Amino acid sequence: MTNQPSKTDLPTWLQAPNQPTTKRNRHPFLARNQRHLQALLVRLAQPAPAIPATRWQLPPHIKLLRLGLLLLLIALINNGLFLWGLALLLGAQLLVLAPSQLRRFLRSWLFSSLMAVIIVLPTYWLNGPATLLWFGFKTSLILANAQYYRATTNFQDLLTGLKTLHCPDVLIMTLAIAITYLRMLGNYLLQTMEALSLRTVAPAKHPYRLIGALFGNLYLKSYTYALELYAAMEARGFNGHYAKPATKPTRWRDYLSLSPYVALMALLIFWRN
Amino acid sequence: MHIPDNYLSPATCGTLAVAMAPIWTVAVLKVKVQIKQHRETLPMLGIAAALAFLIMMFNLPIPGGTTAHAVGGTLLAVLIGPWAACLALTVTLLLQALLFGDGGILAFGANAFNMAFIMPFVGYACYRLGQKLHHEKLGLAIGAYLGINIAALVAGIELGLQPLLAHTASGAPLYCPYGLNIAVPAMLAAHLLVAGWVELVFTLLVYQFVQKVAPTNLYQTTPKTSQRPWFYLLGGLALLTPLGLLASNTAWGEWSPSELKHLLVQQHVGSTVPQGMAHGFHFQALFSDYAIAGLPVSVGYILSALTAILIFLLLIRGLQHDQSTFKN
Repeated sequence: MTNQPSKTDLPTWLQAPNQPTTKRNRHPFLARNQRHLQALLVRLAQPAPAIPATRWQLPPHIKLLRLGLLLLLIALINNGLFLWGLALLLGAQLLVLAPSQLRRFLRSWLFSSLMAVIIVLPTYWLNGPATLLWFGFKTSLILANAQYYRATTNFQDLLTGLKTLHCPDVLIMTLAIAITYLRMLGNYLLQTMEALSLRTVAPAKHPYRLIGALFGNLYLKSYTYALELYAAMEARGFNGHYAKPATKPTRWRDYLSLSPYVALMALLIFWRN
Repeated sequence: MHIPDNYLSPATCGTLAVAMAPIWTVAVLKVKVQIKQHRETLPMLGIAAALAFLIMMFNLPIPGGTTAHAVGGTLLAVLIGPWAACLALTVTLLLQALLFGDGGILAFGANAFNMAFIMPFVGYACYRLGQKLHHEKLGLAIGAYLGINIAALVAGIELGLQPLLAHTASGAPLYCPYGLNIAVPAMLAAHLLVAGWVELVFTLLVYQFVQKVAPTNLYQTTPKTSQRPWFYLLGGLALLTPLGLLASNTAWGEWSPSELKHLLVQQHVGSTVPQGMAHGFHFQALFSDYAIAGLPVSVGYILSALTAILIFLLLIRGLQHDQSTFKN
């Protein structure tokens, strides 16, 4: 019997097992930056953080003031009991967050706290465990409060808060333009990087060669955006002032929400004296 | 280089925020003048802040398999002007601190001082010097490298001072636990060896591209029309020079050997002046201690100041290029 291939058999080149060819990434740093940029764009594209529906919403400027007071208090206090009290207060506030929001908060807070502790880890051998523990506790409490503010405040609230606190218009406007154009420039940079990785056939002599073109183009694009934006601002009757969106009036109980922190601050001052 | 919260004491954070207040005020005033000439500067501030954010998040490969990122302080100063760069970088830092958790909220003033003031201004000064000497790329490269390293040095000093400024009764540090001997070398080594070079290469490459493709988009300095305010400032400072005479004690560290011996005995540190100081080189200046025979000390101070100003102005004048005044 001869080993003749039948008519229904596939040709030999199709029967041979596939040899997977490994696609070598010509610019791994571009790919890594693309991933970072995509993550940033996803974060910017998401709607405002889901604020738990409670009847009492603090006005944006009170939230900002509370954050400032809290951070200052934590930085100043060297009494473990007071700090514990502040941590409990934050814990109670965290209970109101939605589960998904809480998970996001925990992930971000644990990561940033770990980074902070790693930096001061050598003090364990220099000054003993007390400094490391104390520093780690205070820093993680500060980070938790800042993270809570980020999780519960959207960008518009931040701008409104700054405006109510009489921040200069130039700064608020610059901030508002920056956040809007961060997304647009980020998109443009991502598209340029994708185009580069798709169209580059031969590997560049040095990865840095692309940087000049990437960011040079991005700057020129920013300049074009600035000209267009100014024309649009003028067409809409821009008068140099940032228009504050209508906000609810501040009530006495809003100010009352600051009272625990003010009381603690007063206690701290008199205790010292 | 972003200093997080709790690494600097609130007093340090407050001091640096107060130090930044006049800089921000001048920046706003200067940018308002810039806006009158180039109206697009206003939206450009916000867009430049977004650009700075993207520059800071773009990681570049460095030898050893790791990555580093540029800050772009010098680059922005050259592209949009140093004052506008100061404001744009301030906004970027605020955005990073409040919304992205990069850099502290209390330490915002310190971070702005290092990255929105020192870096762009040092870089821009070097660039302008290079431009005057017809070596602008060299000036830019030196500026980018020096700018980030000086900012890192200042950040290292701010961090390293904390154990001296804030500690418990037992001496345990309350904030950054590393002293100057650790913080300064750690900050400088990383920036001198890695981040400085990344900043230099990044700045040069982008600058070269923009200069080649759209040279008119680079920041153009407006020619100074009047130098009168500078003369007023120098004259005022010269008149104020005798102010130090109001103090009863001598300046710290400027003691004569006999004064030093007296102080050492007073503090029970020793009874003899160090050998090197006692038998070292002693130069007898023409107007020692700014005193001119036959004149009150304060007048001697003012005359010395005016003489020094005149000598420096003559030196600068001598080094300047002649302006062409040929007329057909």
